[in-house]
Amino acid sequence: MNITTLTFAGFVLATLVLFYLVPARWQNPVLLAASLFFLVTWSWTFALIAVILTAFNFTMGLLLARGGRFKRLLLWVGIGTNAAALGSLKYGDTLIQNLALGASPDTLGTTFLTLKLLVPIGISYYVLQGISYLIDVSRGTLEPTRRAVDFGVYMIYFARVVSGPIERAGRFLGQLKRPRRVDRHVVSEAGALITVGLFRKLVIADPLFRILPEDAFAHASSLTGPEMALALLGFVFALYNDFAGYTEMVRGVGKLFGIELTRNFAYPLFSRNFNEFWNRWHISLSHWLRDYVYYPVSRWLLRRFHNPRNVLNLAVPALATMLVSAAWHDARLGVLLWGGINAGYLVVERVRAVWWGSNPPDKQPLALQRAKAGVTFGLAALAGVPFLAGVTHLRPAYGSLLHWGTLGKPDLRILILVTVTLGLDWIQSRGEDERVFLSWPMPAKAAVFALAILAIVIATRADVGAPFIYQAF
Amino acid sequence: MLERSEIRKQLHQYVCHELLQRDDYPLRADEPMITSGLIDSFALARVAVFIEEAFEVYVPDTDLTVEKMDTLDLMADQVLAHAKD
Repeated sequence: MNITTLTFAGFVLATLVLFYLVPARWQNPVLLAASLFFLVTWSWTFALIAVILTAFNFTMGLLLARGGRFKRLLLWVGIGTNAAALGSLKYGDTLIQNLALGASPDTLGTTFLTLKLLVPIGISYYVLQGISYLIDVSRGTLEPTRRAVDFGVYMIYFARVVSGPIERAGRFLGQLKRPRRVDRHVVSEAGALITVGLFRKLVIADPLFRILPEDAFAHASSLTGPEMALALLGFVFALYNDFAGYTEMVRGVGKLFGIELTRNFAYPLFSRNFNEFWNRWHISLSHWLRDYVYYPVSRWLLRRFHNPRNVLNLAVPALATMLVSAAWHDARLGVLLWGGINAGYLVVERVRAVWWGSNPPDKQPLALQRAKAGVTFGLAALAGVPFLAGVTHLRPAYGSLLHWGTLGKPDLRILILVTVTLGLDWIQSRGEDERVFLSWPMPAKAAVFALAILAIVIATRADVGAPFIYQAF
Repeated sequence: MLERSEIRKQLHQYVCHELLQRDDYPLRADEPMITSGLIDSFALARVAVFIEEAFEVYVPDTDLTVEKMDTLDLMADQVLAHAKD
């Protein structure tokens, strides 16, 4: 059940009716039943895998809380089982499918979208939630829940199971214990988020994917520099709108059930350095990696090699973090290279900070801040080339970016959708809120939402909506 | 028994000398450091190891967040909160 369809809207409506009809103590069981039903609409197998991993993590949490001398072993069994489930189901499937269909496992294009959907839906996301739950319980920073239903909702809540956000147990389970208060204000916030999310997905991301040159990165040598540059720009903007749109939609749906989901994007296109970028792009994953990979590795090294300028202290935490991030996205060599390049960017920034101290972006001239944002975005996009092209097509892809002698036929419609995205992000960032439109005077608010809905309706008539890219990770 | 003023003083010295590399920087106890870009969130790993060594207090990784460590006051709160663990 794709979440941009009317079927999903009907499902949410039916669940809402049931949710608010039953007594409060039955609301979480309703959410769990709806979440299981949602998974079954994808596949019985997906639902079964989710139930097994949920039961496993719930039990392990209780065992870890007992302590004892096997606590450390139990924790590693828990982490290992989750990682093994993710590794075997995600990469095993990819390998088998690629072998069976004879597709190259190294290109991102139509094959990427069609094959990877066979991975159990949401497993990359709820496995990370399971691991962080076990680590927090093991450290004693979180009391394990004894409510199996609540834990089930935490793991597979339908509004976020497809592509996150990756929630922390402490924050999420706390919300399930409290009575849900949904008033008119919350409903209007939910409506704004859902509208903006649908706009990003249906009016910007899907049309961008349709007009991008087919298999641009696999046939890079046939493209001129401007065509390739525009394709790269278009793909990055499509990916961003696709994922940010999804997150805004599910956060809106979550609000209707009185659940606040974590924000995943905060205008990453305007980041002035890479540290800022990773605090604005896929925030729930970035912060998960920071808390469960970067900090432990960095602290472990700092205790042994006190000098922060030691090469191990500078390089290893960033490299480990970005390689785990890459492996989480995919096991292809091109994706690992993407992780390595991004680690390199972060190491350069660490070297700068450790040698010369801070240089707050906010205190720099505005023109310099904008120039830095442009450079950061450009470097992030260039690092994305191996992710999109794979190592096989890497040289032709980078090579064509350098051929500016011929203009070719760059599709300028891409620039229109890029400009719309920048405008939307600019308005949201100025108000420091994705729902900034709600604070506008009534005529402006009504006009902007009417236009957005009209654009969504027109876009929907052109195409029923493609699946979200990040549900394939 | 750890004194709040002493904790804050040592954190002030560490942040100005080691992270900002400006001993004369007039860092206020309530001045945001991460949200203002004065230090980046990765530097919190260094602050955490300093806290371990200077005060023998372990602040968990999940507490090394902007919300809990943005100012010297908040850092001191974390040291005192975890000193009781």
